Amino acid sequence: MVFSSLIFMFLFLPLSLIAYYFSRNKNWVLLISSLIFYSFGGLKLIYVLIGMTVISYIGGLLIDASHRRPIRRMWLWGTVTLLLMILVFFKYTNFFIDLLRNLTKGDFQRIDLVLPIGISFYTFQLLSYVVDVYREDCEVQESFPKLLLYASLFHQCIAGPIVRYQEIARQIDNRMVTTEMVNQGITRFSVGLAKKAVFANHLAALADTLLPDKLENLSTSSVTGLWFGVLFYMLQIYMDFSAYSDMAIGLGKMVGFTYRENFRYPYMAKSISEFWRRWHISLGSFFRDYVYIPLGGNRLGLGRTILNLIIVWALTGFWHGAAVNYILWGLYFCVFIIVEKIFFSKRVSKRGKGISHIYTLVVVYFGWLLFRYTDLNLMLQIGKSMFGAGNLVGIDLRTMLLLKNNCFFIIAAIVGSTGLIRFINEWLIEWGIRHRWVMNLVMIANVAVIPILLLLSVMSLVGNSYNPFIYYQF
Amino acid sequence: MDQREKWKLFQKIRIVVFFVCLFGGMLLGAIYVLRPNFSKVENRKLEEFPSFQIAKLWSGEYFDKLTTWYADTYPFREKLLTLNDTLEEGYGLQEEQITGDAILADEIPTVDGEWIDNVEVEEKEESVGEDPVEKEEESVGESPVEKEEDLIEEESIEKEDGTGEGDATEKVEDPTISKKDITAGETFGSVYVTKERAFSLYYFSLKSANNYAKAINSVAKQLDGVATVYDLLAPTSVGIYLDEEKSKLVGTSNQKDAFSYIYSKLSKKVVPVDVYDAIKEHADEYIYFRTDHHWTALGAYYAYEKFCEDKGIQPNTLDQFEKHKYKNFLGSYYAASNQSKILKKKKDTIETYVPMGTNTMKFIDRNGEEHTWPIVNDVSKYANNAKYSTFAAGDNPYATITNSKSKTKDSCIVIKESYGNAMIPFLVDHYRKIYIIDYRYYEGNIISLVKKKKIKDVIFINNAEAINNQVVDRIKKISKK
Repeated sequence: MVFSSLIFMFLFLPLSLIAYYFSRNKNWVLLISSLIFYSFGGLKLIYVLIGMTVISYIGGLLIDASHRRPIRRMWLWGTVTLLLMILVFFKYTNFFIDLLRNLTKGDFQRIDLVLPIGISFYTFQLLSYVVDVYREDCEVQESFPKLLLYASLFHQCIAGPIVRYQEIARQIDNRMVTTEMVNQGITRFSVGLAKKAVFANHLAALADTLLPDKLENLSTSSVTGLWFGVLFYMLQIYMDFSAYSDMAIGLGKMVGFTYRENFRYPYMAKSISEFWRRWHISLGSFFRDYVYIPLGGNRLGLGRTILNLIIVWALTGFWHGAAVNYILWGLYFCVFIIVEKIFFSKRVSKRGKGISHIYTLVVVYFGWLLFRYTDLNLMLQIGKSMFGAGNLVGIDLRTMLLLKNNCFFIIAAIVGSTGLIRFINEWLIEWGIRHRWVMNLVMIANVAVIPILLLLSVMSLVGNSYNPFIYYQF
Repeated sequence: MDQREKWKLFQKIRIVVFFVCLFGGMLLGAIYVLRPNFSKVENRKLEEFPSFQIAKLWSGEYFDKLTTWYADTYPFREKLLTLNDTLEEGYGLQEEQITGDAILADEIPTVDGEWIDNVEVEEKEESVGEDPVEKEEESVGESPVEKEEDLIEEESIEKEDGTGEGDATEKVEDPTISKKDITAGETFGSVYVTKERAFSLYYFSLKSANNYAKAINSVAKQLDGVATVYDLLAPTSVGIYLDEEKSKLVGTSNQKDAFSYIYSKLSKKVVPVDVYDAIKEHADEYIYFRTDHHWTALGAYYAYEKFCEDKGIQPNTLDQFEKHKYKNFLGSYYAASNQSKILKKKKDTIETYVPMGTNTMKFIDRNGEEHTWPIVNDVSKYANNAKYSTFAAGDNPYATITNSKSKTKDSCIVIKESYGNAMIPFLVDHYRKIYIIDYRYYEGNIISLVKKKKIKDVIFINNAEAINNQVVDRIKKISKK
């Protein structure tokens, strides 16, 4: 099930919230809701989720029960290896089979594997749990249902954010729901839903119209169309992914969980390093804390730092999908991060800020081209055509009409991916503290915005076939 | 009330509003009787409630279907869709629009007058359909219609006896209206809506053009000395109205050149009826619908005039016919453009000319049922999108018209898709008997039919977009030796 579906909004969510608010065994309600939610993707793969939780549960207990360091380490590595093997098996087997076939020209057939939904996310969550127990950053969880609740919680199980066990360990046993929190929660959820249903889906349709999916179709594109196509994809992927995190955070707040922010207006960043501190924060910090720093981080000299960065970014890219382009995508950012680390560590001047913002956006923009196409040749041809090499027309009527017919929408999408609206709202509230009538207006607007966003979302969802979250596949 | 209290109250109101929306939506969704099962706007059956199977539950298919069903049949879905369309109209300055994917048209080779007579030699490279071991259809005479599952859609045709002329108040029971009209052989890739009218963009395909010519040549060869084969290629509105500059910009091919090319590939045994210029000459008249992909009766009339000229007979003039008008026609482009508001303001009027000799025909519908029907039917009570079926009872596998008042004893066979329908009323007065075959649905063999019925003229009528591989396969299938 996805959040942006009517059955979730108008059946699953209200029922699970009623059950939650009126039940005494709130964790059981959440666990059962989560398992039902998960089983919408098919019952057959739920055993992977449960199985991996069992492994982590036992691993955690074993680590905790041992006092000698080598033995604790042995249990840690045992558990981590097992978890990673399962992830690699489901996600990367066919990638390696293809690779082997291409290298040896041997007869290796792909095997029929279905990727369990959310496996990339919940594996990382469970890994963080096991490592944190080992590091004694958190208490071991002695109750299996509670650990399963952590891993399967429908808010974040299938598309993030990657919530660490230590962040919510206390909240599992002890959490308060305040009016303030629910209020914030419904805002986040409604905004996220509209970002997905109204913006991301339509942006996706625009990008799909302009960007060819096959090499044969490239010839019907126009240069302008390609440039705008990548721009729409850039906006789409932000709207799509951050929408999911918004909704997850919102749903958490409604029942008393506080998850860390996962996106902080990444397209406002002024360097690539900053971009990654604003984009999919839970993933970046996971790799930082569980890979980069254990590898030695930047404490072992420049050469080793660069090596560590390369490892981390190749893995970050690879996490996004079992294809070469994702690895290249990770390494692409790695190059800029290394360059920034070496040359631009000092603070930039005010004028420099504008330039660095543009630089960052340009780098990220071409990054999305890399991200979109698993077919490297097609990507290359598109990239060349964007610079006039493909003999395409400059602009065709299709592109012209598409831009004209969507000009207001495009502006809204760009504004929506900056923090402008939130900034204005906060500024008005500030202002309203001194002027009663302003405050009244702000309040009315803030009440009205909820049903408006929900209605707009329902309107878009009801006739929309293009719905899956991009990150759903990871 | 102090600010803090007010703030608290404000938060509570918001929360209540949110939950009212959520539970309201849930209650509305629970009212089963409000759930629609057919979408008029999209002209399709909505998802059905899935039947329960353990295997489907296991694979996730059951919940998938359930999710689709829940959204697809949500109460007031059509209203919400319309509302969403209105919203999306505000996304920009929407004066024109294009829907559908772009296709790259082939370059049209220049016609050099060189005849290709070796076409039959390479025949074997083109497979006929998917299934080369087709049984020969011998019994063409009385029941030429075979059932073909994929063409007979469950919801499309309800049975009715042939006397339904007067009581065609409810559109759905009419056998002349098929809901699959657009998808069967007349699919369009892209629809371009301008302020004036909509166009379906035409993309020339060299392979299809060659194959089409081969298929017609093969028919002419088999009927050499038996009948005259005419091939009439009907331009679509985009080929007449869109100027060269715009055509280039949208990448649509020049139909005049395309037709010239195809005619150049036809063997000398085929009489080409080149109507392009004849129609273009009348471009300022109402010869094409604005909201539909067909030509009007007037457009078909100018094609008929050209046909008469080529055949060497005197055409009837328009004022000889009894004329009818049916207003408020919103055709296939309207549906294909997702009910474009621009087109809604451009409703068409259907004008019909009733044949003089007879206005009665017999046809066998796609279920194999026989009907007697008017050649030009009163469609004033038909749904807005179904009015083109006034002509020749719409698209049926097999139909016949007997005109006992005809001066000649000749008969002809018209092999066509729906473009042909509008021209048939004009042909009635020139033949004793007309056989009408819609090659998309007919399962018999036209060669043996022509021979058996001693038919004089074989007239192929195809619009530009119907020159595709599917059509060629169908023509080959019904004309196999």
